Amino acid sequence: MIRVRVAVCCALLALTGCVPSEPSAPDWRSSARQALEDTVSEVETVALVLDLESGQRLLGSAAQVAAVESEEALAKAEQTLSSQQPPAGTERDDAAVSDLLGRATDLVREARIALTAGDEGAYDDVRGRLLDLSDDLEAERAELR
Amino acid sequence: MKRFFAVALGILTAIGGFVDIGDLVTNAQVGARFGLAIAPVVVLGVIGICLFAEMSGRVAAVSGRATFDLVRERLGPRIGLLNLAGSMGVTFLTFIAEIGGVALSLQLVTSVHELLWVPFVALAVWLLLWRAKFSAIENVLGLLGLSLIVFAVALWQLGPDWGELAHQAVTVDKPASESWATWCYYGVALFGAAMTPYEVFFFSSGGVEERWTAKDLGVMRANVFIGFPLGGLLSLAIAGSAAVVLQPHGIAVDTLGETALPVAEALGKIGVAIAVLGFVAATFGAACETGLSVGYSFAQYVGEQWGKYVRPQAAVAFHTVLLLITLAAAGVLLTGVDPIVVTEVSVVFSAVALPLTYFPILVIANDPDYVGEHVNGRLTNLLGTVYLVLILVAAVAAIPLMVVTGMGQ
Repeated sequence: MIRVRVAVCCALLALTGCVPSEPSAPDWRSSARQALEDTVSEVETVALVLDLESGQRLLGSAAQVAAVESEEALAKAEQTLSSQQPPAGTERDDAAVSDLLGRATDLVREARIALTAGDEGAYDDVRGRLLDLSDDLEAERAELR
Repeated sequence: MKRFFAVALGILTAIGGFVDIGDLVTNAQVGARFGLAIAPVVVLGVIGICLFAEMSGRVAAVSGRATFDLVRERLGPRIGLLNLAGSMGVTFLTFIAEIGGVALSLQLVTSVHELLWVPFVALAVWLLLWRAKFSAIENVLGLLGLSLIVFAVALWQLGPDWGELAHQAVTVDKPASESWATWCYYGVALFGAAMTPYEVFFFSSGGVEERWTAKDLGVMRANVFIGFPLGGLLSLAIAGSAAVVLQPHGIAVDTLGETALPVAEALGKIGVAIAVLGFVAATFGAACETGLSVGYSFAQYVGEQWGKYVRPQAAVAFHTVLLLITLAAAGVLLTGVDPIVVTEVSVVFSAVALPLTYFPILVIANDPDYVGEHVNGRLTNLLGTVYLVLILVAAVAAIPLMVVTGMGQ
């Protein structure tokens, strides 16, 4: 009997591990707001790093390390949200948030490439676009309230 | 003159040795999210650590014996074991975080991944614990840790609105975007970081290692009452510089590199170089202190020989524990666990373990069998009792707050 119970528990665990979590609409919005907040933080970090690097104020490869860490943090934020099933009625929000997170990932990657290549001419342009994106992220976050 | 230098050196190493990875990360996180709104908790924590460090130092100087040795004898093996398990567990967690902190600091300037640094850092820590003299570890790393004064210089150079910072520091308030639960979570984390248990074990065992007597009480008190508060000011400078540079951008501190960004903004490359030197010294020094504290606690509890003044062959249990925990810490870090997350967890669990650490010290510091005429005065006992209540509240609230806020999200 105990073996059967253990087998049932294992099967349940295996099944629940294979399906995405299905939060309620308020819970999903809360997760989306958190993902956007985390993304704003990383986007602003990379923008600040670009600013400091263009002023030759960072040591060695600190700028590249910071950009790589932001890239990793963004991937984590995106993965955490994408592992959740968006509830019915949140399709527009889901599309908007996914688009913003994708743009952030691409732009931070672009910043990391520029920093690694030492392409100083690109810093201002990428930084400007990061700050615009940060505004868009904040606007979407406010929309989700 | 010699005595003056001894006092000055003690104070300087106390300042430099005050800040560890928990203080670095938690103060920067709090500054970036709350400004100086939780600064009163740092002040509260610094007063608390001064109070109990003085008690444990006094016990060590007068009795010539360290804390765990006396806890088991005075409160019995069961309470002693509870004390040992709680404090050693948290100190080991802090040890892991400190080794990870050194690796992260080295990654910052070399871009070599932290995981590749971990085995070398662990080996260096173990070699230092095995071979170096106690005074060399304490003085050299403590003095290098003073590099973190660069955060105070950076804050001054950033030219903040001092009136606004002072207003934040004396007002119990929070930004509109944050909840009170998160405020309390970070308050408990800061309190745990400031009063982390290993500091008193290291301090009292260090006193025995340096053969303090009742004549050294003045020097010991100068170290505690001048060195620790100045170390606390360094913590506030880290929070203040994060508040000035990172908070307006909405940057939350998740990495050690982000902690250094305000220094880069204010002082450029030289400032960052000094800050990174400070990170390495502070985390390396704290790794040695936490490692020694675990070894001290275990050996003192089981009644074995311990310490750096004893030949390794005569302190087998002590040195075996040092080797095993270093291997275990490296093993944990090599699983890829984020040292910053380990740090966040360690400061919260520090808060949980506080009553197990500080209640026995209060009992022993009141026992004339151990401290003779140097028992606590009325004011010390009043403050000690008030702090025990605060510690108990923090310990009970720590884990529920961690769960409710999702570790401060």
